[in-house]
Amino acid sequence: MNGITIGIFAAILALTLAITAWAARRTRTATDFYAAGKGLTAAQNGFALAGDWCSAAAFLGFTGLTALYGADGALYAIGPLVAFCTVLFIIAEPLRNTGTYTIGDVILYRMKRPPALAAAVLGTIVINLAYMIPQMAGGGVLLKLLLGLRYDVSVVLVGLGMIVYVAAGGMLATSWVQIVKAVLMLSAGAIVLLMAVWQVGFDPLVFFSADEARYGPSFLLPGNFLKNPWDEVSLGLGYVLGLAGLPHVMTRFYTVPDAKTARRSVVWVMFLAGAFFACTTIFGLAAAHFVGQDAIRAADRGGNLTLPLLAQYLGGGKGSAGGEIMLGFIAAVAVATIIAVVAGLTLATSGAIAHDLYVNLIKKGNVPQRDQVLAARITAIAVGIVATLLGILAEGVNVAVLVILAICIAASANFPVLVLSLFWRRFNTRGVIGGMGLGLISSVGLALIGPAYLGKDALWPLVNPTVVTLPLGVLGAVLGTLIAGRNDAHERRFDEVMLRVHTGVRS
Amino acid sequence: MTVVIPNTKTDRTASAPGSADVWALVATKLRCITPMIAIYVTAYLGLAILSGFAKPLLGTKVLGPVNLGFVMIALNYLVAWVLAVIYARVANRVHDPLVQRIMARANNDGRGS
Repeated sequence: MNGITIGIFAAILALTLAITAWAARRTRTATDFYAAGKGLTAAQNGFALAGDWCSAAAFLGFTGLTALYGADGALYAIGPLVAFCTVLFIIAEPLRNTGTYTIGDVILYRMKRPPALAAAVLGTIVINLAYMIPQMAGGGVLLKLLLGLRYDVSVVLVGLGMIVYVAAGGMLATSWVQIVKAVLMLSAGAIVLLMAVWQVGFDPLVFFSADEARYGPSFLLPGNFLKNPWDEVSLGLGYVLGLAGLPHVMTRFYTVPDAKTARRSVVWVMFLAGAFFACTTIFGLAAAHFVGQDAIRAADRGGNLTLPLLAQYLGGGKGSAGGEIMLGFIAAVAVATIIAVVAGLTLATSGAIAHDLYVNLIKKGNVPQRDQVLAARITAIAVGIVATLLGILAEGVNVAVLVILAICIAASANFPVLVLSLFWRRFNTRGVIGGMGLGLISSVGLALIGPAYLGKDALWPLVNPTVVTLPLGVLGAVLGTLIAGRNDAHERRFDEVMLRVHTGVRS
Repeated sequence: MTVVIPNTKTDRTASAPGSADVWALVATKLRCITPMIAIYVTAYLGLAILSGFAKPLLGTKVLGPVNLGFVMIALNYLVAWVLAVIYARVANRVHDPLVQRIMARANNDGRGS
């Protein structure tokens, strides 16, 4: 198995490094580095979005959840697709029209005040680090399992990969790495789907009846994984509004030439990623039927190896050539997935630090193009090193819950601030600080005193506090705005803002 | 820096070029997206709330071994995809021409700014 995985992975690595070398020669300006020269097509950005959004948590996690907990896994998988409705209708086009490289750009253009930008940067950095640590740890576990490497060596390898992609090739390399990964992932998904339904005479309903007969009627009911009903609601809210506040996904809209292309790229990702999410439900049900929950739990208690095991079974089983090739293929794609996603996160974080904080906040925009790119590259390397160290420290700690926290903060702090900046005339700098502050503090605070960290001694019942922290974030934004009082010049300027938000005209 | 269009009807539209057109565009967009947001939020949060509080109902068998919960999950996929296609069509046919008109006017008025 090792040989096949290493072979396929080496081929992917060679291809992505060649892309990075090609992209590095084309990355000269800040627009090249952060936004791939704004030259991607709708289909390219759609595939890259699918690459960004289908992290290992989706690729391996949803399948495992469905296999072990039935309906809750399917409920998990639909959220990330519905989330793109919010992005398509409310965020994608205004973001593309208003900003340049980051979410912070939008806030800075609207508020024209450094404290507002600083608050936005803080939100982006906290969200990205919370999102990144579990990915790094997941990459470490996966490489350790697949190649027999030590955990810390595995994390360093993942970190090295992402640093090279981002620091050398910027957004152009990162985008194409995402595209390659998305194509591989979707092909792998299509092959597994065909093989799985072929085994049951192209009638996937067999999986439902067989699993129900084997694991009891509650398997097909919600509530096996999320015991607290409010956690189901929180999960829904978090996904539907949180995606629109996730910096590493939103910055993808700056890679296309205009708002119309941004819109078309969302439709692309909705069909590509949506179809894949739907397939993870079938994969999970099929794995529970073919592989069985006991074998899945024996390989990994959280079910994260469900999809590789299903692929191995469908290829002919353990020890057969077909089985080992399928397993190697899926495993290599999973590793590529993790490196691609952390590369996107590294890029978005270096945008917040080098572009928002250094160029715009400290230097007031007065930095020559060459120095901007240099600053971005140095920041990407620094962010990559920090993420790698945190990933190594996270060994053995349950960090999966940090993804929930990242999405919760995105929904509770970033999303209200972004939407109110784009649509509320009176919204002001104090409002940005109030929304970011209350959304961020309540999300982190409630997560820390919740069952994820304190277990049975939790002072607060929900793993995912979005159902409370989102209203708090909105409240903070509104109260901050009202406390600051009226500012006629700021409110009159809103007409000009709306012109740019909805047409992209820059006066 | 910007040229004020004198003959606009309401006060708040008097500060930027073509802002009456912008507000008309915003109104058109809202007419399109408000019902769409209502549909997907109801469908998805409805599913989340039923999953939390009405498990027996979602366990009702609808299609052979498939229960109402899974049918509603499938419907949510359908709702998201259909709404996305409808939105893209409306945006192409209705919103984009309005944007084009505003941009053309802003470019003419904004010369020399």
